[in-house]
Amino acid sequence: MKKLTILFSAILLAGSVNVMATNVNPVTENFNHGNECISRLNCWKFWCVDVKSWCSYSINTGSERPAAVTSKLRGIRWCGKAYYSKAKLYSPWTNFNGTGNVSFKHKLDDNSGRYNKLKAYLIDAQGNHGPKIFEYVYNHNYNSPNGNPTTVQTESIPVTWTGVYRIKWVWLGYGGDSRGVMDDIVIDGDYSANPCKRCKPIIPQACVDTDGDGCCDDEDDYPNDPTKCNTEFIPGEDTYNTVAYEDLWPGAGDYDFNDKVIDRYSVYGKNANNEITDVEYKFVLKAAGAGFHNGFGFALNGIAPSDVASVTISPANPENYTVISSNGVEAGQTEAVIIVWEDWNDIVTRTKNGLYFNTKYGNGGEGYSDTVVVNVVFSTPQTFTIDEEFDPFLIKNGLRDSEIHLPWKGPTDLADLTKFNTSSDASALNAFGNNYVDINNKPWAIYTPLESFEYPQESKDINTVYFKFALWASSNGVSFPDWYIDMPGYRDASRIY
Amino acid sequence: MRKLIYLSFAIGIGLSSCSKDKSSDSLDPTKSTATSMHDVKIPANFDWKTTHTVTITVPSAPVYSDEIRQMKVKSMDGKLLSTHSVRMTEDATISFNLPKSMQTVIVEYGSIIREVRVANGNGVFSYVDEPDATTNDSEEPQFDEKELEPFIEE
Repeated sequence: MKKLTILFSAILLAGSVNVMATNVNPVTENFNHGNECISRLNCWKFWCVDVKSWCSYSINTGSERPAAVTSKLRGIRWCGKAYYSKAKLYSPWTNFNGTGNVSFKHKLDDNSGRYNKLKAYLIDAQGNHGPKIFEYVYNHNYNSPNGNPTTVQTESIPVTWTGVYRIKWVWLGYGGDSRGVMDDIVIDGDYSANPCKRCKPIIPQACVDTDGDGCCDDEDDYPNDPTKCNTEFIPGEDTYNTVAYEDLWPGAGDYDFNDKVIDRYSVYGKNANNEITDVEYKFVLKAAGAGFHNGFGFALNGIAPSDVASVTISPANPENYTVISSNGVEAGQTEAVIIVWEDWNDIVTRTKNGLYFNTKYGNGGEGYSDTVVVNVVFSTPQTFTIDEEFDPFLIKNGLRDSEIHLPWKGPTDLADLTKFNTSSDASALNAFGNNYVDINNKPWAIYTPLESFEYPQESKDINTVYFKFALWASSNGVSFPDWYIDMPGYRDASRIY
Repeated sequence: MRKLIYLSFAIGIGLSSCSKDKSSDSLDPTKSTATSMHDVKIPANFDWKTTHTVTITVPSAPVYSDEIRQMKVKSMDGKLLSTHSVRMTEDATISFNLPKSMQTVIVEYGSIIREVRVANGNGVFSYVDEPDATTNDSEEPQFDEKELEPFIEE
């Protein structure tokens, strides 16, 4: 089996602009893969032609038997007139430089035809039909030279043209049942089709990589930033999801999950190797259905403090009771921990005074929160699974050693472990099982990963608001994993704030 | 007296109807009878996770083009989730966290667009279409009237 020869060339232009071209020369197709779809993927185009490996159609033998085979070239009668059958095969777009050859083998599969021809034309990059470069008439008269159309013919057409063209082979036939067969096509020229853009012709040197990060500008989310090419959004572009808390831990709450409701949106930058270079986390406090002056932070699970080059937070955290290292992570931790705010009251603007914040109509407090933006830059590109690293937690009422995490997360090194397994808490800590759950595995925090959580009003148990929540939890997460989205029969909207 | 009998009968029907509805609710697996967290029986091994790590396998394709291009992952409503640099001629795997409620994503590689079903955290993206009857056109010649060329005996 012949193999494709793949050449790469990179041309360095003046200044900081790298221009690269990927060439394949020659362009070959022997159909030995036996799959027309693979040829199509490489921008070959078929019309009444298939890739077949039947013995009677073959030009070669064994594993090299597959070939391009036309339909029966019988011709048709249309409105009382006779017309040729046509079948066509198009090569991919190829950049020719006026040298070399276009070679291929062809024949008819049997001699039952009456009139059969094979022609080849050039098609230019604008799709215009160009000149005929080849014609062969299959002679069905055995007494004439080349009289047997089933004899394999080997052709070699000198390339005398330059520029980007595709070659169009056309079979014509009338009478009989003959099929055209073609194989072992070799085209001296640079492959210039783009299989990822509907096989359109591409001009060489189409890959401009301005920042030199290995990603062409049109395949680079950050064409002027040499550190990154790709992006991952949690939960999706321009969308927030939510972590919602009960904040009385280790005491039991009322399960309205609105003591603190924090929306989060994250944009992860990744380099050409898909390693994470930086993250922008955005947080909005939607509700505070409790009076505690809770802080909020998050650990980056599996990431050492030294893996973080810098952290910037806007608006800045006051740092009254937390100690922050020079790179922006909290001091005294073995994993990187970032304190987003120390007291939620520092980031909200009240439009109506009250003890609570956006959980209670009437005499409850109302207002809006800043969007706190946290930018984390890593000292070396990281390979963690995005979103798995994110371990958000409340700091209970300004007590730095009292944290409240999601059940499968935490605590950090600064949490006071003597508070675990007191009051209602039954955390497994280092044993198998959840942290921050009670003896019945009921949590103090939930995470709605797909979209922002529309949280219950004050004191409304989540089960009276979200009718599928209990079914999800009691089924071990099998039923209704989408319990929090707005679907008919899923919720009582009148109990949502 | 007859009115009293009718009334009793009607009340009886009413009560049995109420009773039947309550019974069918408790048997309906799509309806919860819990009105507070204390009513919910949660398995001890339930981890409360709402996301999982998904890996999509991308087998290489025997193509001429060897450039690195972006593979885009989108939700079914078209929201961009992530982009990954992928070379078509190399086997690749792309991993990302996905809400457990999402079982299908759209994966785009240029103009090659596939819906990828995620099962048990795994999915497969194939550059190559599966061959089907629509690609096997040689047995059913198609004639375009504009393409017809009169047969002239030579």
